[in-house]
Amino acid sequence: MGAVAIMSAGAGCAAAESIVERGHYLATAADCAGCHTANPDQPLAGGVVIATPLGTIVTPNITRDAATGIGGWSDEDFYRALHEGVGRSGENLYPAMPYAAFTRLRRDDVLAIKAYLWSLPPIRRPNAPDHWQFPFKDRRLVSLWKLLNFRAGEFRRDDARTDSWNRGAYLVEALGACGECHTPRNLTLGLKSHEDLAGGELDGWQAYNITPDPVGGIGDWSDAEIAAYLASGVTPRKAAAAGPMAGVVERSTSLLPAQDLADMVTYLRTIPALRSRTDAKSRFSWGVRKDEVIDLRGVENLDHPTGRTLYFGNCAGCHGADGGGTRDGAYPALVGNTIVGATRADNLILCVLGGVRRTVAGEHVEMPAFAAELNDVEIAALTNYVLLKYGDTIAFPVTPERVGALRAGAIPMLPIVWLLWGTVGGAMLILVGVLAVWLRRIALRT
Amino acid sequence: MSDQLSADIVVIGSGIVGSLAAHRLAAQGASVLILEAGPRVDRGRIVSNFRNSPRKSDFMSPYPFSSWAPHPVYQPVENNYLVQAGPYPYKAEYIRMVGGTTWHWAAQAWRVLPNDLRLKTLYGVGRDWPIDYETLEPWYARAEQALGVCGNAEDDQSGRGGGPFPPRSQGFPLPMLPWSPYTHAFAAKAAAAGFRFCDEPSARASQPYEGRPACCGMNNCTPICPIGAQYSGDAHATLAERAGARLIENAVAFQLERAGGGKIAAVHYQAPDGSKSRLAARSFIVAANGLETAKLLLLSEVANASDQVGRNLMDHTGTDLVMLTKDALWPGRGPVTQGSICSWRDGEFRRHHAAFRHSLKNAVPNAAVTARALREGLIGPDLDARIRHDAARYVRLATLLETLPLPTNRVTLGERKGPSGLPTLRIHYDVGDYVRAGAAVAEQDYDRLVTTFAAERLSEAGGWQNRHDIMGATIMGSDPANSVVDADCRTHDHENLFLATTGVIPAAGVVEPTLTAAALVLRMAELIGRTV
Repeated sequence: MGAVAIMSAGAGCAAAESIVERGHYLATAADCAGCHTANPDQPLAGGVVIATPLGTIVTPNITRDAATGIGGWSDEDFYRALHEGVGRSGENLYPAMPYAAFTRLRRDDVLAIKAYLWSLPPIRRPNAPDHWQFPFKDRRLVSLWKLLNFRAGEFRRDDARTDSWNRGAYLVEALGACGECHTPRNLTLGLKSHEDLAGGELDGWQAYNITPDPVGGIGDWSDAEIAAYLASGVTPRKAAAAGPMAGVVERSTSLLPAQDLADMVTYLRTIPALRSRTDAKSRFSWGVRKDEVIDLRGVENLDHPTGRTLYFGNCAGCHGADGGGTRDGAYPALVGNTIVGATRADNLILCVLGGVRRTVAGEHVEMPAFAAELNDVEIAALTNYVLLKYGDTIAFPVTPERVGALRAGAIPMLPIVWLLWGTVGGAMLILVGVLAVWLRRIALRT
Repeated sequence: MSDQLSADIVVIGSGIVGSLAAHRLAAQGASVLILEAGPRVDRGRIVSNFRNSPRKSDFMSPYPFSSWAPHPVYQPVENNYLVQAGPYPYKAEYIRMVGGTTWHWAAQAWRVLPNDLRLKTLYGVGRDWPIDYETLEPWYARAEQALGVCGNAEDDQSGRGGGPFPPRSQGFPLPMLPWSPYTHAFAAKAAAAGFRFCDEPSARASQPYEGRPACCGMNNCTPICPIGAQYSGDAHATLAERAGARLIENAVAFQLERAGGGKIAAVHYQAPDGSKSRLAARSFIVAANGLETAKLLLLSEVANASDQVGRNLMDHTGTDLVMLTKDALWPGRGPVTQGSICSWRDGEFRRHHAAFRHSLKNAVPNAAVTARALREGLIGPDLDARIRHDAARYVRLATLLETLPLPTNRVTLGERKGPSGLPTLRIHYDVGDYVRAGAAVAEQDYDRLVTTFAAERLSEAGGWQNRHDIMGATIMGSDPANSVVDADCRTHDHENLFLATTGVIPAAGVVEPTLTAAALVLRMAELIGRTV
């Protein structure tokens, strides 16, 4: 897909392009491949394993293969899936599929995506079973979830706003489903609609606040900087995409026309500016360049390396002895780096553990993984050194236990699960109590 | 001591060559044990050692010394692990550690020329290889893939001014690393004066490659690439372990035990505390470097029916040209070496004198020019000005000369014993008339280069330099009467004993032998894999 030029400019339908071309463009903007392509040789044939707090989902094959894919689906089936979150047999789809966003897609766009999928070769690849924790496999729970968190309805143009704003809103809120990661979730895992794009998480990664707040969000970024980030994955001296966002840039935003990115910026500028109480200044504004390598000489105990020793041994080669990176940003600075200046250190730890890799427009970026070289204590010491020197100290201290949890890929148990089990447990206790009293009465009577 | 097998295959040595063998065989399902004489040290520690070392130009100083697995030390005080019996001291350096000497090898990854393998037939000197270039070529391609080699497939590396050479079945896995302005400037002027200059292929990630980041031009390839863009053998040691091989650190092999029927039954090794262990296996691969492999064979009294073990020791013993050019050329950006003059790599002249190659060095010269200025007594602003002036104009070419396999150039067991009770090594080495004649021709090149660059020459000829390219001490050949291993790297004397080392190379050519050893070992591993 990466090599194919996107024909459309903007989310409005241009007359000259075919429905398949438009579908291709829309599928790119919606990043269907992000969840439905596990093996690049089998595009859109599913198989991506998504770990959630409630269990593990394996995404399905959405090629037009009749036996294992969605070849038998009618237009109406396909539209219902995206618009209402309902499968072909009327079953509720798990909301890992972001239909809360896709419900806003216009019907003709949904059918264009289907036309695009039908233009691709069918791939025979049977779907693998999900693994849910009890009782979340039960799709009736999804009905409850929908009742609380889902309203079906297509995007409605706001005539009081510009065309650019409307296109941007459609890209961000409908196609891009940005809120799926960037909006915080409530107790029942629904999106907190009044905190749109104020920061969420995925797979242990923090998806940062991208509201226009200058402290909590990206209000201090210029329009060009935001667009450059979406186009290339890098804005020097501000941020570089890692983790899941690196994939989003690779597969989706870097392939969109410049006008789309400008429209997204237009829209993002107008959503409510939000910050949390812990936000002191913007994520990219922490740290000063300072070279401590001379102080280090001859005083190190390499058998008990400090964070500073580990930094100069493992990191300074690329990020500089002074944390300044390279001038062109190819090897990013840690001074003024969003991942280092965030209020939580999880993304920083995950970058150290797993490295960073990104390929945009044929340009590869690779930071090596240190999971095999450094243990949890060392990574904690290293990230603490980096945080204190270049980051937001509110994220300090990182504990080895936190590093260990992220290394294991542990997904934290959610309050909803405790609540649910608490409720179930309480109900059981009451039931047992009632039963005991009832039995006792019977016993007494006889 | 039971004769239960410890593994299908025991590999002795976890450097690039041993680790490639272990990885290939483990990936094919064989059970593999790797013995490494030295410890495992991670890159961050080596970088820290380098930063803390006051001897930045001593490329061994970041690497820990292990009393149980000693390596030669020359600075600050020589440890005489290699006892030099003369007439020329063979001061080879190597690292005994997981990953081996490729931790600081500068990553030159050359192929030999087809004619290098037919030296005796074509020019009447030295020895022929028992295999030809066509046989080796597919394995070169695989070795380049394994190491992630970048280079220019359009270059004529034979220096004859023709089309792309030597022949390649596929391009380099990575595109050529862009030349620094220095390399460009030197190449242009040298080429105008008639020198045939070409890119040096190197196992350096010009783009991210298999988890390695792209080279960021730290100019620290020796003694340690701080980011791992330069290939080092620990990469395949780790891959071998992931494929199921087991690596035992600090395990010094000291005896290969014979069994009936000309086979090797087991290897004995000792730990730093002196405790000894025995490992029985179907096959044994000794990949313990060019000198240590010969040492283990000599200690064990195996594979030496030909009396050739330890003989035919070679290097690319060379001279160098150091000059201050008239114009500022600004060396020191990018990797420490990028290009070579190959005009004298091959030709009829090899009947009379050694072939050679001038490798253009690109190391930051500040330390060298500062030391020189200090010797002249400069201080203060004069010193600063001089450093700035000279550092921009300091040019060094290291010449690698082709040496011949002379039976009298040999390594033997020394009389002294180290703390582990194992003997040191004694080396007798002479450069020989063939090399001296080649150096005289190289000297004419130096004169021309000094003129071309309107330069002031800083070094005088005559000082031989070891290039640490240890070859020949376990020489390959088709005749069991005068060689140690056959074309498959199998010892003539023991059907289950293989040698995987640059030590098997029978004709040195003028290029660093690492990629050739890697190609040979991949070919050997395929063969062993088929039989295990």
